[in-house]
Amino acid sequence: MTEHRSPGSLQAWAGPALLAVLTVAGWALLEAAADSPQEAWFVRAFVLLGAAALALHVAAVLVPQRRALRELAQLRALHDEQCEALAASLEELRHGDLVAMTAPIAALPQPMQLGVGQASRALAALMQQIQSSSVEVASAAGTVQRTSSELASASSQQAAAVVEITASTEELARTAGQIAANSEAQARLAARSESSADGGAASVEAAVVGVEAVRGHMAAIAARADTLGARSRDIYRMLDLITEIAQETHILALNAAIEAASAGEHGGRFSVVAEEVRRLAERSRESVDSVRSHLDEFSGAIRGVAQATAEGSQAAEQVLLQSRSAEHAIAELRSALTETAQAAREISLATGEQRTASDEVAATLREVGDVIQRIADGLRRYTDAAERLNQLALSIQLLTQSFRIESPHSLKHQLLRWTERLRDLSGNLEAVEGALSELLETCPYLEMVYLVDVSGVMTGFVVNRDLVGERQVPGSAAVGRSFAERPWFQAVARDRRSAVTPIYDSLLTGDPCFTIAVAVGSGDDTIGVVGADVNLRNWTKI
Amino acid sequence: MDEKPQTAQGDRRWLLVRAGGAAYALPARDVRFVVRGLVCHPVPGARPRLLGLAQYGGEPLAVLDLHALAEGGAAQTSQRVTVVLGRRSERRAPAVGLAVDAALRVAEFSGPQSPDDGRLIQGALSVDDETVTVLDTSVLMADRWRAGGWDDD
Repeated sequence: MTEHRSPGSLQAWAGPALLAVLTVAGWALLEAAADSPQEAWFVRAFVLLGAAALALHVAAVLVPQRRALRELAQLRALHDEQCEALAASLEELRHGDLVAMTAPIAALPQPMQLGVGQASRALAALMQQIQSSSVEVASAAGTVQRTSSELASASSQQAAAVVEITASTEELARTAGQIAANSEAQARLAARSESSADGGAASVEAAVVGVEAVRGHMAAIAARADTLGARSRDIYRMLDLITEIAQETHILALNAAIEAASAGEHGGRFSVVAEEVRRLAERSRESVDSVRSHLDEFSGAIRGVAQATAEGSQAAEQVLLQSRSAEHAIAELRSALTETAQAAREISLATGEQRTASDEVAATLREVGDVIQRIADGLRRYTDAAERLNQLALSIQLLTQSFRIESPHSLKHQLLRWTERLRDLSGNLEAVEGALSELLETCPYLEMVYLVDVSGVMTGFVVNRDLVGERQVPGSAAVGRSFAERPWFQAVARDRRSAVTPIYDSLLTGDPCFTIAVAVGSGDDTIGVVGADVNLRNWTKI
Repeated sequence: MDEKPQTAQGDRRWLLVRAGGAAYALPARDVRFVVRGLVCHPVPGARPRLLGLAQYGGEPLAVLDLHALAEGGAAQTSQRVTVVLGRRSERRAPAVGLAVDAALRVAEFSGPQSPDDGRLIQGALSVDDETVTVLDTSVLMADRWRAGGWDDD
């Protein structure tokens, strides 16, 4: 005020001083130049006019000017006060405390109060909207991420299944090709078999004719053998007769010899004759025996021939039957071969078409597999994008949590409200832990809340067992351990304001989380810092 | 009829027969005839050696199995040939038939040096490298034989 007054005062008094100097200078010059009384009157009038002008200047210019300067100083002081209030509000806004920023604006003019208040409320509403939107975005992104991940996994499995189906179809096509080739070869073989069967049928037919001729010859041989047998029996009868005669002759010779022996010396010569007769009879019998032996052999041979002929005839008949059966079988075989060849050709054509169709199916399946693979890749990219979107939504959440608004979703606001209770419970460790437990019940998305004193030493903590389960709390989280080096503690201790850490992986659950730290008390009355670890997976469910 | 049968000693002509696989020599003087195919009718209850009765010359003829008679046991002869024994000096003398398998021939050789009177088998000789049992068939025509001794042991 003084700095502003001095130059203004000097400037304010410059005009009267110049007027006074001019009046005095003019009076002196006029007094020196006035020679007459009239001129003296003129000098007196000049001096009076000068004094009047000086008085008028003081009254009309200098006094209003000084009043305006005082009012200006007052206005400047008010301006400075309002600027300070606005700066304080903006400072709170800079730190994101949209609740605290409304306190200093009472010094502002009503329109400005109204404008700042409206701006604060609008910004708080915007933050709240952004919070809720980011939560929804995070939730939707999480859902999209899980869904797309499942779809990507399913698509990968589907792609693998399609690859297997493609391989099976290709194998089917190859098998069909082999079947077609085999069927074609079978058809050719069947055709050759047809011609062979024709040749076989002709051969069998010729064999039938030949066997029938053989059977006729066998019948003729059998007839001849029967004739020979009859002749042999006649010879046997003749031999029997000759044998009979020889035996009778033998007996007669014996009786003659006996008679000769009875005749004594007279019968000697007769005895010789009788002996000769007996010898002839003996030789006849031996000859008959020899002839009979030969005839036996001949008859045996004849019987053998007859038997062989009968067997040959029977065999020929059997061969004839078998040949006819073979002829019939060959005819049926030829018919079957014809049908087989036709069926093989049809199979070859069908399997050829099947191979073509299988190739087309395999090609289509390969394209489908490529498409599914591309879909899987796209879904993986979609999953990555959803993950990034989720991270982005969480980052937005973190950003919005940097602001304190009057909302149950504003963690800073919630914690600051709880710090008021903790401040009253200072020194009562059990009461502090009870309050922290109530805080966990109120905010189930918190993994752990803890209170450290102004030197950074932990004085108490509570773990949310609903989230953590029975996992052991790491050794770093223990009463008496120092957290003075933690960034969040340093930030709170330095600025006496709440702080939010970046996202990190929790040692307790492995889930992503962040820590929000709030000072308990303010200024020199700060008694410590409350830290809360927020589980992001559960936080997005609020 | 009661005269003593002439022994085989001094006989030089023999009828060689085969019966039951063995060869026998019968004195030619006791052989009346050799016949074939003589039909023999068995006698019920007779000994095995007696094959039966046959009709010869209008009279019954007892036919004995030579092998069973000489060796004992059952009859084994096929009875293709029957040798009719009888004394030639007596046309009415009784005759006995011996059934044999075959009548071979009339041979001339000396009989046993020490004939055993009253016994059928007089001994054995080797004729043409074959053992021949020499029989004294006169025993068969003795009275006690004709009185039914053919059935005795």
